Amino acid sequence: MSENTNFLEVKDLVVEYTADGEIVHAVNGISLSLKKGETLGLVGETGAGKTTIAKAILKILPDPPAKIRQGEIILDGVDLLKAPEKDMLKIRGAKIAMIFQDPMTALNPLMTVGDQIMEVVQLHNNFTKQEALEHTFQMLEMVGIPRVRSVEFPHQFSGGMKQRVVIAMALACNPELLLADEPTTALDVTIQAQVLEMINELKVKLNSSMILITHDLGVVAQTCDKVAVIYAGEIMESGSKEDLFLNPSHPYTLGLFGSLPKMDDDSKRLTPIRGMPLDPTLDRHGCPFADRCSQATKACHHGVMPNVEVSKDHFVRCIKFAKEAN
Amino acid sequence: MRTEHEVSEKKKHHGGHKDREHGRHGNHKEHRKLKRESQIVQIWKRMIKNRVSLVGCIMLAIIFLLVIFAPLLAPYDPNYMDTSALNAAPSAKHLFGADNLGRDILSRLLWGGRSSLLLGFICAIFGLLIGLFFGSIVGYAGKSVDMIVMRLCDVMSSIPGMLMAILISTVMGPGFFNTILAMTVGGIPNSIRGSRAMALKEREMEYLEAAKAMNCSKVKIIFKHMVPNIISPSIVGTTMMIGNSITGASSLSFVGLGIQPPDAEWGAMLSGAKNFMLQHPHEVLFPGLAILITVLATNMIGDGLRDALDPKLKN
Amino acid sequence: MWRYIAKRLLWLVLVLICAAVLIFSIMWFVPGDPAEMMLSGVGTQEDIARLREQLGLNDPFIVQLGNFLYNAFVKFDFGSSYVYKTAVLDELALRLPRTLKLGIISIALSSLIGIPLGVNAALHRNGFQDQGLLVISMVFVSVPQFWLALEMMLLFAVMLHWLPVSGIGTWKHWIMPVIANTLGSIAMNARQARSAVLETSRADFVTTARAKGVHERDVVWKHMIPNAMIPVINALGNSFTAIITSSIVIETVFAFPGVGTYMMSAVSGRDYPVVRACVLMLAAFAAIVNLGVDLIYAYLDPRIKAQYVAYAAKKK
Repeated sequence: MSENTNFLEVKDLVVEYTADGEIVHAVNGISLSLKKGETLGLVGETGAGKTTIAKAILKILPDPPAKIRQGEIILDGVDLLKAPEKDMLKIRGAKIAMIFQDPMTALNPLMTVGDQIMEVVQLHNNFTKQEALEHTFQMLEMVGIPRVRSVEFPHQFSGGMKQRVVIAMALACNPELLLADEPTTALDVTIQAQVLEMINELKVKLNSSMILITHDLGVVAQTCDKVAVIYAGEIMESGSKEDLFLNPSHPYTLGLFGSLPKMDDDSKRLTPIRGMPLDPTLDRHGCPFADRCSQATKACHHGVMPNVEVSKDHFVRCIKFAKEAN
Repeated sequence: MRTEHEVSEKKKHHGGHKDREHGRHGNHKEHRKLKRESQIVQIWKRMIKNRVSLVGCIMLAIIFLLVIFAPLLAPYDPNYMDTSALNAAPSAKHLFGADNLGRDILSRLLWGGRSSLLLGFICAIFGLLIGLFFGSIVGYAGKSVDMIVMRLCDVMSSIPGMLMAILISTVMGPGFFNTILAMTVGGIPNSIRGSRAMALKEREMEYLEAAKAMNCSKVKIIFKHMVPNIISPSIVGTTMMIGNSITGASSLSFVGLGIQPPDAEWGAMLSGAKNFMLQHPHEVLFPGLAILITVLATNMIGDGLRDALDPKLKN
Repeated sequence: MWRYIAKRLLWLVLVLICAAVLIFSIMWFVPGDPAEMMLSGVGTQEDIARLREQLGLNDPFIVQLGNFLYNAFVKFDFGSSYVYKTAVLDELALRLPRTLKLGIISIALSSLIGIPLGVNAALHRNGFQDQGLLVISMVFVSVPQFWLALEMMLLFAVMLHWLPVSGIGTWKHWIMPVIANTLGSIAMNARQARSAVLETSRADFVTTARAKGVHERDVVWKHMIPNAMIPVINALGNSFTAIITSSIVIETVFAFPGVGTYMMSAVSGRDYPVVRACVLMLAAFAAIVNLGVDLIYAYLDPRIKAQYVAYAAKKK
């Protein structure tokens, strides 16, 4: 496999939830691509469907209520959505691993952390018990936890330490793709930087690709190569980190940046995005952001929004740019 | 996704956030009323949506109507002894038959339902009030108060509730109010424990910190801020308690304590009828069914309420 | 851990002593004079007065209480029945094992049947197993057990002649009391187990396990079920207490010669020593079983265990 082909490709993914007879449109035709060793940041508000995308890639969405309606998820030339469960078991934890948002609840409280790491080690390697144990110890030490603590239970660890355990567990089988779902949101700010740095280092060491889910633009700036901004289950803008940060184009992306405090700006107030996120149960017409967009025109409320390539590999899903291109 | 949204919506209605929202909007009272109502209406709507609790509500409503209008509906005086109908089997004249003294069973069921239902409801409400009062104080106070009260509860609950009710019933003798007393005392430790556990959880919440920071008195913090927030989860337990109390009171009457003949109460009717049941099985059938259906209705409502109050459980 | 267990045992004895004081005090207020009841119709006023003296009923409250406590907890003697004149302990030695056997069979059956039913229902959420269990268990949770006992008696003993009506002797005598005592608890346990499993199935660590590539079977049995069982086991203690109390009434229905019938006849006959001893015995067993459940719970859940160990260490 050459360095230039896409290692992961998600095409037109649609995921829906059914709740109380209503259909929630969580993910609406998302396409992503990722090369070996790259880090893609998925940025968006809570409820935008970021976690759903990650879980869909692993095919661990609870069904019911979640249903993958259409799309392809191609990893190394194999469409995961068509792969039988038997194959998925071999992929999960080995080829693709996930780091969860809340380390407090992501660990089984009745198993020692050592056993929980060893479980994934033994599942995907033909190790003897001794080898698996040794590997477990190595993983713990890699994330900075002394091996003697492997016999301890999750409640004996602090939040940051638990997240280290979760990371050790995710990296235990050298995954080629790492899905990090807001790995630092639940942690103290001082610990956040440490954990983030560690994930980054280990990722480079193992040459894994990573999808980093976050709502923190600072985290994106620190770690990602590419960024996709998600709103209401649709990608609003995507491109390289530089494109996004230096030349944010979509009104929503601009809104996100406007909500951040800037050091070089003397304005007293931040500019929040007005309104509330779109009710995900509504049927879609036009741009999902139209109701909150200050530049919205009548045309924004109807039809399909064009995905415009404003510069190379920098896509914006907005009618405004389509007009300009014409 | 939807449910998460709802939970966060619900949280918003509670405590601290509320004050802040109102501060901005001005006319506090009107606003608060609106929000409160909408929450109750929301829960009610969700409960009605649930088929089980809807059926439960309808059943209980019918039972209530039957019992309230017993004077109009009962074909006979519940204590009238028709000597020509001793142990009569169900017939057109006596729909559910008559007992060993010739009293119409249907009439006695309708009248007796008043005591059974009242007993159940009063005991449950007393349990709720006592639990809320002591539980919230103890839970909020913590430390030594908590220690002492909980140890007292340990001692009290070492005698199982029903045994305690039997003992107290023996002391107080039969009768409506004595039975309520016996049942309530027997249930005290559990009521306090339940409310205390919720109070302990609530105590960690920040809206209480906020109230404290605003220099609220302890009494105000407990009864104005904390108690309203533990009432709704307590309601489920209370609904279930109604059923338990009806069964408990009728078992007391059944073993010769509680409410005694000639007063009509479902358990007391069973107690009298069991001596003749070999020859006249209908005499035990109907009072038992009455208890079963009533308790079933309250339990169904309780189940639906729990789902309605905690939408997370549904999906 | 041992330190903790010893502590709990000590506390248990203390609680039981307090419970004994409570029972004694409550019985003190029971209206009616046992001496008068025992001799009603046959004895003269002098006989009654003599008997009162003999039974120590003329002593002040505190002396009687002291005697009772001393005899019960030091000499392990609960006195003699006013009515039957036999030693209460002898009678209890005969009857308590029956009641306990009834209780233990019931709790064993109700957990062995109820918990798997609940787990099964939760794993097939909204399937026919689940819907069926919900409906049936709802009915059995609501049915008054003594009435169920009466109706069973009518059906199986009187109409079908399959089982003996009442009393004790063969294993057949046990069937109806056990069923009447168990059905409600089966339903209760099943509901509890069901909601516990449903609750855990939404836990994040279950998703973690799936993300690790653990087979769904192992996700359920290694991660979900053990965690779901924690609250279920915790509830078993209460379940046992409920069974013991319900068996009092059930025993009277089937004239089952256990502690329940003994106690209920003593209640109506103002036979204080018997009532006290029975209540105390039942309370003691409920407490012991609850302690056992607590210890198992602590053993199974490392979080609770850690608390105890820390607690014991702090107190050292």
